[in-house]
Amino acid sequence: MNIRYITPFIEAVEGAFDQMFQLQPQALTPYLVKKEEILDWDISGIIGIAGEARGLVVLSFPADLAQELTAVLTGQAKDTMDEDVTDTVGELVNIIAGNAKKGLEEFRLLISLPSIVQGHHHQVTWPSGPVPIITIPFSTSRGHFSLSVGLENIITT
Amino acid sequence: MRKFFKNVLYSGIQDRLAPEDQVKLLFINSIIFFGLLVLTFFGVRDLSHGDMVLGGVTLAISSVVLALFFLIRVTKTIQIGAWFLPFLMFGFFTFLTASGGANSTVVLWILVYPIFVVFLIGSFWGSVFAAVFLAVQALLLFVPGLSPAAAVELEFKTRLIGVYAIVFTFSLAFEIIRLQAQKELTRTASELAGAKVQTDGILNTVTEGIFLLNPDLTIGDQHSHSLKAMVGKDDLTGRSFLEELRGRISEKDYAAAKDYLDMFFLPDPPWHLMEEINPLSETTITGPDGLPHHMTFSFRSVELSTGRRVLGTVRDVTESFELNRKLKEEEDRSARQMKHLFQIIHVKPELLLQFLQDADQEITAVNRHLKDQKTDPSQLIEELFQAVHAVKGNAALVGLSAFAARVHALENMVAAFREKKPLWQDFLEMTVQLSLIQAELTEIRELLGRMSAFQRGIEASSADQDLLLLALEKAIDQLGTDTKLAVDLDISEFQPHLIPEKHRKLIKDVLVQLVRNSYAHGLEHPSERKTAGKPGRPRIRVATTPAGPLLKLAYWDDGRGIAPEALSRVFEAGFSTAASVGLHAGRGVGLSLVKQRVETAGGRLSLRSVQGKGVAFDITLPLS
Amino acid sequence: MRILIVDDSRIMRNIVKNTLKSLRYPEDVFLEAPDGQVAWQILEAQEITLLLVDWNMPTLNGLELVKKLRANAKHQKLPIIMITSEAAKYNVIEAVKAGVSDYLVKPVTEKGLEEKIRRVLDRRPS
Repeated sequence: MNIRYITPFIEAVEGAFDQMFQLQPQALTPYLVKKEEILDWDISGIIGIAGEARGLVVLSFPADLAQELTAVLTGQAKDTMDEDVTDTVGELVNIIAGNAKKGLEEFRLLISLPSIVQGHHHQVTWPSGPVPIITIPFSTSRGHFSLSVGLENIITT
Repeated sequence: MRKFFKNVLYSGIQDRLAPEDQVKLLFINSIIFFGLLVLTFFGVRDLSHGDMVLGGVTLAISSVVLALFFLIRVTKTIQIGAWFLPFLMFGFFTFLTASGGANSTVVLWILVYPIFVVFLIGSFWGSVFAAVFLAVQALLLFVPGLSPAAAVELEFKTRLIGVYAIVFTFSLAFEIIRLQAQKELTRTASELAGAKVQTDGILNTVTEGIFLLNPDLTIGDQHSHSLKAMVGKDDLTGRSFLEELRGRISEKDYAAAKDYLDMFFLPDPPWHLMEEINPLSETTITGPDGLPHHMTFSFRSVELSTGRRVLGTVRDVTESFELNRKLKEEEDRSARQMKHLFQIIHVKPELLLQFLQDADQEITAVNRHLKDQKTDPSQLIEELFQAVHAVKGNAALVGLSAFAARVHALENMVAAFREKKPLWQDFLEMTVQLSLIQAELTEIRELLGRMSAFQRGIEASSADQDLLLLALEKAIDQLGTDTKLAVDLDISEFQPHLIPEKHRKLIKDVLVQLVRNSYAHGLEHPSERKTAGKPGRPRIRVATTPAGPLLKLAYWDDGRGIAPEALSRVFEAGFSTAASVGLHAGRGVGLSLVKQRVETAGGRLSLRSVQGKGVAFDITLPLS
Repeated sequence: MRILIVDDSRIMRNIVKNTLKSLRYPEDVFLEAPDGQVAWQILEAQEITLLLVDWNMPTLNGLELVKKLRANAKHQKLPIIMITSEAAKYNVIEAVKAGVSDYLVKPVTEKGLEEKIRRVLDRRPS
């Protein structure tokens, strides 16, 4: 885990929210998370990282923010977690992953295609072993979401 | 339109013919058309001049020629035309000469004969025909009275023959040279085709991507098939190699690769370094499938006749790289765990557990503050500092000095922010460092957990699988091997679990000593036993009998027993019935020591024996 | 023979000197400089056989010094070995592009230095 691996994601999040939704997310104080902890979110996009470091980057959203963001894109108000919502979150996470990729190349880190996990209190399977995990909460005018990073440095030399 | 003309000129059969014959056909058809034109013109003119004979013959010949054209089309071969025309022309020109007349210039037509005939039917037959033709014309020209042509001026006639000879010679020479050149060309073409087949075969089969780079770093048109698959593009010729790489590798690597490849084309490249400094010798590229592939590139300069080029080879080694990486991962992980293990060993276990618990509490507490977004930054820094300071102190106290040093580094970082106001990025950095420390603590805890599981395993096994029994069996085994005497052991009534923990070692030692004694003094070899009427193998029996607050342990063998006079002295220190001191007996220490120890433990040891039949030891021990 | 050792760290200079001594180069062939500027002055004033230079130095760093030397006709053929901790391939290429004769990554081993010196001096045009 290294701050240089995280910064590209933060920048990608800010960029994507600005371009797609004209929102400016504010990063709040980051804190530690234990592997077994169950996330208090409704839908998460999971991006796998491989290479010099290994682990996951997870973007988590509550239902109402996810629905609001979908409403911005589709023009229709949403009150359930339907396919459109899943697609929107998926698209958003894809864009963030894609933009972050550039910033990570020089560190020999590679990103996998993101996957979406849904359902209240869903759990994320972090890599085995003692992995440092931190969460950065974000707040926007339409709601909160979080960016969690669990990365283990593989090759220390 | 072009196609129509081509069809007409080649009589529609150009595909069946060798290049040589195609030219021949073209020639034949040209002669036919030109001939038709001329013959028709002259024929009509002669007719209009009233010369019926000449005109008629001419026109007749022209229709024959026309017929020939169609004949070739129908029969689809050129041989007919090739042979028919010489004969036709022979006849026609001879006719012209013969009917020409004294002032006739029509005799000039004979000059074209050798050219046509050599080309149409080859150098040998062409020469034959040309020679015969010449002879005939000469006859007609020089033999007086044979034809009106004989009246032609002598000087004219001789010049005519002379020019004919020249035309003939040159036609022949030309044809022969042309034929040679044609053969040479065909041979070279087929050689090249053969070579190309081989090269293509190689390029299509090699698994490596092979290519040549031009000075402007574009890819040459000869490259291996695999290269296309690796890049995901079919048409690579002329494409810039670096541009193909650009989207798939880091910017730094791209810049380095460009500089490197440019170096090859300098007038004086540092050849001895080129191999070492290849920035693409091992690199990870995003393949056309979107996945990372590990590739090795190597480059060499080649000097071609067209100038210097760079030969590039690229191989996909993702599989072996993955394997190596996994191995390195395992190695690194083991190394880290060893480091931790080494640290832990020096620490008292209770202390370590305490430390881990305390550290966890400290970090959880400060994490609560981090999570609570309402905490004021300077307070947050203060909490962080306290927590980290505490963890560091405890780690140092407990003896985890290397770990303490790492926490100290974080403490310094936090301390610096007590003065300066930290930015959000600084909080991120501190949180990251804290997470790394927490991860290390987790690793230590897990390691410890595994160690205690191991410990418990050992204890469990020593309770279940009786060490006592093991020791006994091992002793008998060893002695049996040393003395080459096998023994039957009866433990059907031996219940080692009845023996209290505190007495276990004692009982073990006692039993082992008794077994040694049996072997050393009592047990006989099969021959001796047979004489004594005992079963072939000696027997040892151990049994336990619970008796209320006491435990009785009986040891029995059916060996020689002890003589009555020795019986009372057996427990004396220094007494031994052994003839000499050996590995397993003779010092007279064992039994007396055993009795002493049993009595010290609050028990009793007694002995019965019948000489010749065996010995029995009874041991009593208190259970509580 | 004169060998000029250029590094801003005195310790590093000593290490290189000691390595050279163990390769049996006599003490009197060594010259030292703590930065590129001083090194340049020495090179202008005397005939130097071999230059061992670090990359990261104040005033005039190793890379700049190499470029300056190669731009000058007098020092075109000077054997130069860059001894530095910059190990990344693109750094090496930059140095080679600037004109170093060879490149050695710290930490310095006897064998490594010996090999590079031999390579560089053997190739010198006579």
